[in-house]
Amino acid sequence: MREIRWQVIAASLVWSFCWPVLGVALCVFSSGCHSSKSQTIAVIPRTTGSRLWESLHKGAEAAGRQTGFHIYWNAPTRDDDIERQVALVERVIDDRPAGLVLAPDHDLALVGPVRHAMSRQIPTVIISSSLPIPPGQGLSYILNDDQEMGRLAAMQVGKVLKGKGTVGIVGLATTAMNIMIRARAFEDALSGNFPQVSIVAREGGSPNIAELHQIAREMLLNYPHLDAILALDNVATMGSLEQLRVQGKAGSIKLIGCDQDTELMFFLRQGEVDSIIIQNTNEMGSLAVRWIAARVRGEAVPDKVELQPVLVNKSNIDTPEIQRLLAVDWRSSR
Amino acid sequence: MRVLGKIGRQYRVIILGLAVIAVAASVLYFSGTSPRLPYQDSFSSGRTGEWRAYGGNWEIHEGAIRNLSEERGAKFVTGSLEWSDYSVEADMMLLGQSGDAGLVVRSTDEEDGIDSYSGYYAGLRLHSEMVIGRADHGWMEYQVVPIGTPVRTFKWYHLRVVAVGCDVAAVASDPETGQRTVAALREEDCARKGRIGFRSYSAGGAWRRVRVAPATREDLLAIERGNQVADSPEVMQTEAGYAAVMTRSMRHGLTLPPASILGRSRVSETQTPPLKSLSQVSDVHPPQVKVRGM
Repeated sequence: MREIRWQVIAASLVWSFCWPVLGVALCVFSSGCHSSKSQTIAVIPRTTGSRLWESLHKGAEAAGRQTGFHIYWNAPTRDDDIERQVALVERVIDDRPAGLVLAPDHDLALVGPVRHAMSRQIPTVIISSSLPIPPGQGLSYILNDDQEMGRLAAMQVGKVLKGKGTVGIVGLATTAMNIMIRARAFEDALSGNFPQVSIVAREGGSPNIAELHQIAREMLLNYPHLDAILALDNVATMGSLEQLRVQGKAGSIKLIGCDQDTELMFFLRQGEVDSIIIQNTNEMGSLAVRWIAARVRGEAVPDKVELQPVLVNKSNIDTPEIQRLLAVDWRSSR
Repeated sequence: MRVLGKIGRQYRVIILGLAVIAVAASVLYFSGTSPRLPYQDSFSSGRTGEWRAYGGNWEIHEGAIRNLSEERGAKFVTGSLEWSDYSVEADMMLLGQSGDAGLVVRSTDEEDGIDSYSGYYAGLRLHSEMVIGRADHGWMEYQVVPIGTPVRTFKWYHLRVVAVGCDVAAVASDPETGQRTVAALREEDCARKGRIGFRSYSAGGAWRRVRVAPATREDLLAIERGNQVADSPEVMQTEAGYAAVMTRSMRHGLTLPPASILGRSRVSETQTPPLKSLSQVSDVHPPQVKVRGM
């Protein structure tokens, strides 16, 4: 009896100490512990839950399915939460994914984490807006053509004002290179093509809608006879629209916005927004994942490509091409 | 066993102790420490030990748990990964000017982030909608149901969500008017097990009197009967589909909360000083300084 009892105790001990050994063995023989065999590509946009970035999600998932990679999708809950995006990127790097796709929240703050990814030989694709790191050593860029975005905006302003009038710019952010490129291209194209359209106000930007609301309010107080507003991103567009609605001027002052947003598209259909110039984030996600898959296979990929933005207005919003660009049915891509 | 027989008494005690610890650890590992069904919260006693927060700013207040942050997608989760067919119900209140708040069922793989979990969510959305959908590290909205009476902040509603098989149905009731609103979905390849949770999006929220109990198909049908069950999120995943739903909701009296989708709080129309004037509010004159070494 006594011996049997000791046998049970010994067996329990052996059983319990087997678990860690079994765990280590499983880890070693499974792909989980081998970073070089990771089948996950981390895609980190500026935030999630918006049409701008969920289109990216759709493109990435579709390409992930085609290339055999799992997509890890997450981002900060606000697109100005730089600290959380840095922390998320660092955590993802520690998991040694097969690749990293990143839409940086800030031009400078994400330089360190991206260099960290490069130092770990993690193929990285920066999307939407650039970072001050030259491409190469596993780093590529898939950017929005912000020059073209500014040019399209200028041509639309000139068209709706019939070549004559005043326009105010909202959303200038000196810390965001892509926004400044849009603004510069807008000014160049406007002065070159519509010399009788004058820019009377140049106002700042903010990721904070309350601040944008105030900025737009002050601009409309200072320039009550504005004919049009160019808003350089979707927060600036929404802030300007809200202020125009408060003042009962939505639709009468032409609002041309940048970057897609679910509600902005609805207000465009209602005639309160004249047009919105959207990024092709769907193609960005798809191309970025395919480039990383190619790098993993040892193939060369381009250093940089710029994707063309598209102007959306009431006359083309229901075309299949625009609806495809705005779709966020990422799960059907799985 | 002869070897063991020769082991001294003190070593036997140590081995016995180790064995007890090992067995206890194994039992804990396999059974888990998660709550069992039926479950009810202990917020009125000030206890939240079995809950875990993902984002948000959670605290107990007057017998309820509340999230004071308007962070998009803040979650507060409890329960077992083994819970499958069950109902969860709670009183809930929206705190905020836009957004939504509600209950999560069959939740797994939770992380900080807006839709960073796998499971189902049903909630009340300011100002006049009930929403139900599937999250899988991304959001698929299955149904948005207009509510006749506008949803108000700082008012208690009762929300019940039943998950049986691959059906999830939710009913929200207004205790003042007795009005009931139902939203339901059916998924072919569904999440079958998981925890419960509270979730809020662009709004704070408060929850109390949480009850979770096993549920049957009869419980489900009692909610679904006579109501539409959405079996695809596709309409809501396209811009045109979203616009059609918004137009329909506006016909039912929905007043659009400006910019609710990105969690932007509305700005009051009080007179405020111009932003450019704020740099001149300080009248502190810096002392004269000399810069050396240049």
